[in-house]
Amino acid sequence: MFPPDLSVGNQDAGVNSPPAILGVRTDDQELPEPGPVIFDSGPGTFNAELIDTDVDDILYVRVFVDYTVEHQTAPRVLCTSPANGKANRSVTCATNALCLDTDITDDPENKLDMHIMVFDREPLEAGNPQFQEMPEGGLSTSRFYFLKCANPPQ
Amino acid sequence: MKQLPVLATLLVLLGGCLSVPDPAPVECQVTTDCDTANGEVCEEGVCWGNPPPGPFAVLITPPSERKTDLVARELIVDSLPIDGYFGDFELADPVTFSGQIVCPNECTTTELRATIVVTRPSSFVGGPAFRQVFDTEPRTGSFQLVLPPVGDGEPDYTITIIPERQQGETALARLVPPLRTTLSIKQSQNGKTLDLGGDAALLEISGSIVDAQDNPATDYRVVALGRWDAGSALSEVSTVDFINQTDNSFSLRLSEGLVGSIDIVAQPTNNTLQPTLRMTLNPLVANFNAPELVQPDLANPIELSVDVTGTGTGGEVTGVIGAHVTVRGQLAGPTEATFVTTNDTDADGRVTLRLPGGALASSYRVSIVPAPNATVGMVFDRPLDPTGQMLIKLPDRIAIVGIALDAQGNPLKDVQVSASPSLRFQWSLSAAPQAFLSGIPAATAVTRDSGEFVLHVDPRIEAGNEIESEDIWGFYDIGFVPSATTNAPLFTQLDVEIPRDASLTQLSLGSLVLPDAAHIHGRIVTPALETVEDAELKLFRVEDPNAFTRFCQVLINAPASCPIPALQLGRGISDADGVTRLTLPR
Repeated sequence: MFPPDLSVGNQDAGVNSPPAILGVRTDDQELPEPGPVIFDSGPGTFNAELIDTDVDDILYVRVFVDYTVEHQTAPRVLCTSPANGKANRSVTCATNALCLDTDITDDPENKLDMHIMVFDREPLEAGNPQFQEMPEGGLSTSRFYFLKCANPPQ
Repeated sequence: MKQLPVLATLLVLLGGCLSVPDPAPVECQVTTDCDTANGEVCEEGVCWGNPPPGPFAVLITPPSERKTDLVARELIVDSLPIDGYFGDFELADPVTFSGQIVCPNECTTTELRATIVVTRPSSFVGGPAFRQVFDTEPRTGSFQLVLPPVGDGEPDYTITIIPERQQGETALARLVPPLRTTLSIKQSQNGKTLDLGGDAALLEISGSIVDAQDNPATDYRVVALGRWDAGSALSEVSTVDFINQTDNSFSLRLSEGLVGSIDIVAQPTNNTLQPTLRMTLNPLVANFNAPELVQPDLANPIELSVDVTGTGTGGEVTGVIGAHVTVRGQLAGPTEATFVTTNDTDADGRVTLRLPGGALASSYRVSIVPAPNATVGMVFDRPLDPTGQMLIKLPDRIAIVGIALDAQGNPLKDVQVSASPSLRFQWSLSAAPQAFLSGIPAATAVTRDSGEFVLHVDPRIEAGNEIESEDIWGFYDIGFVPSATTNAPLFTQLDVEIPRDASLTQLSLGSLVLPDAAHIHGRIVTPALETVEDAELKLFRVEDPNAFTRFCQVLINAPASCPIPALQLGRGISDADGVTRLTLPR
């Protein structure tokens, strides 16, 4: 008979808890899921409100457009929320590269698939799935929106 | 704020004994710990007050779950109270404008499915434009617009009704064009009708599309692009028609109220490997000579492989993964033909593209944007030999390095830093490179414990393309967004100039001292003074419109509307008690 192992794990924080996205805001509104949401080509930002009870985790936000298993494209938006000792975070992300020229159309039916993802480990450039795989133990969650790209109002 | 050595020592000792996260910084315990001479008061461990001088523009937006009973509000505040407590900012009650769209007789068998886009400019210079999109109920065409009321002196709403534009004989867009109108909605109104047919007879343009041998072309969607205002971007301003194997003719009805010329644009459907065709016309004389759009000669398709490489951080040359490759070909003439295709490089740095052969082949040019935060740079509008495999080595970017310090000279860690092309850089470029540059993802980094940061940016747009005759060197805005527990405000170092030296690999900015932080707080409430949780408050600097105009006059390629965004000074989200806290630069 072996005595039970009473030693604790060597990870400081125990089990990793996943990050989550509480809300995403542009200048004029909080984005309702699943949209459609409109982003203009050119300069702009959104703010993501995040939460992770692992308060020392850096959170990595990536936005993927029309990312599929067959077509694993690089993120178009990338921003990072440093650890600040609190579970709740806010991060500002530049959206100037979110909409490409070829995405702009007047056709309201022409919508793109947009995933806003938050990772608690930095995603690897390669990996499987590409641009979304993390070092072991990393967790992520995402929000989905239909994206419409437009020229900015004059 | 005065120093609190005893408290700081205690916190350090506690931090050494216990493995707890860094606590939020404590500035004060009592008001005398703060700068009382300038009005600061201590609450919640923070010295509030002594804000920067006004005026300010305030934008308050409700949370999404309250969007039917509360709407956003803009207001101008001349100054903020010296003790930093701004009291209550009220969101607005919405007004509703409801009714239905109506359509000429021929629409009777068609669903009245349309999108209604409501826009208006901000009430302050450089503020974010308002835009909201609503859908009609397809069976009846009914709609309900929930909007902020138009106050005295505020601009009216511009309403654009875009009929459903899906392919199909019965789609509403086949029968009626978009409608643009303005509405001043000061209070709720019901039972309104918006007539898509209008009173005036709409101008109609008929034409056809043929191939280079004068045979009927097929598989195109045809629409007219035009403008309702001289300064606005092109948008669809006509009914939509489709040409197919049985009929290569089209007929378009134009919207009312257009200004200037229009472009008849034929876009390929069904993923066919054909160029987009465009013909610019004066709509008033278009039917004197029915437009005929002519395809260029299209030989067999070309399959092109491009290997994209770059120098890695270890000095080795490797394939660049995730680079966005765009190939564009264009032939000018009475009918302008354009073909654009894009794809991303795979794990080996390779991308394969299919292009139409024939007359377009000699015009193809390639542009490449690497994945965000790459150390290798972009390629713009480089000539392309489409006959075989191509190898493109991306140039190295220049590293902008610096150290972020607070107003007392201490390193600021965990600050999000980003570099984006400044307006001076963007508006030095003509239209095509300007659009290309604005689509390059901003470089981002987080400051280390030492406050250091490194950002990799493209130093210039190189000459050699068909558009720019000489290199255009970069200017970048470096933005700093401190975390909620960092005692520093938002800050942007504008127009950092890249030295005109192609051999330079690094630009050191040295120490960048962020402004002193001023803390303000208050509540966000409904018009009935109930507190609102998760509402957002943004504070902007009120800009001098004359300064904007002067800046745009210096830059020859600035858009006519000179859309310089107002500088955001602070931002906060209300808590469960409606309380919002902002940090502003002094």
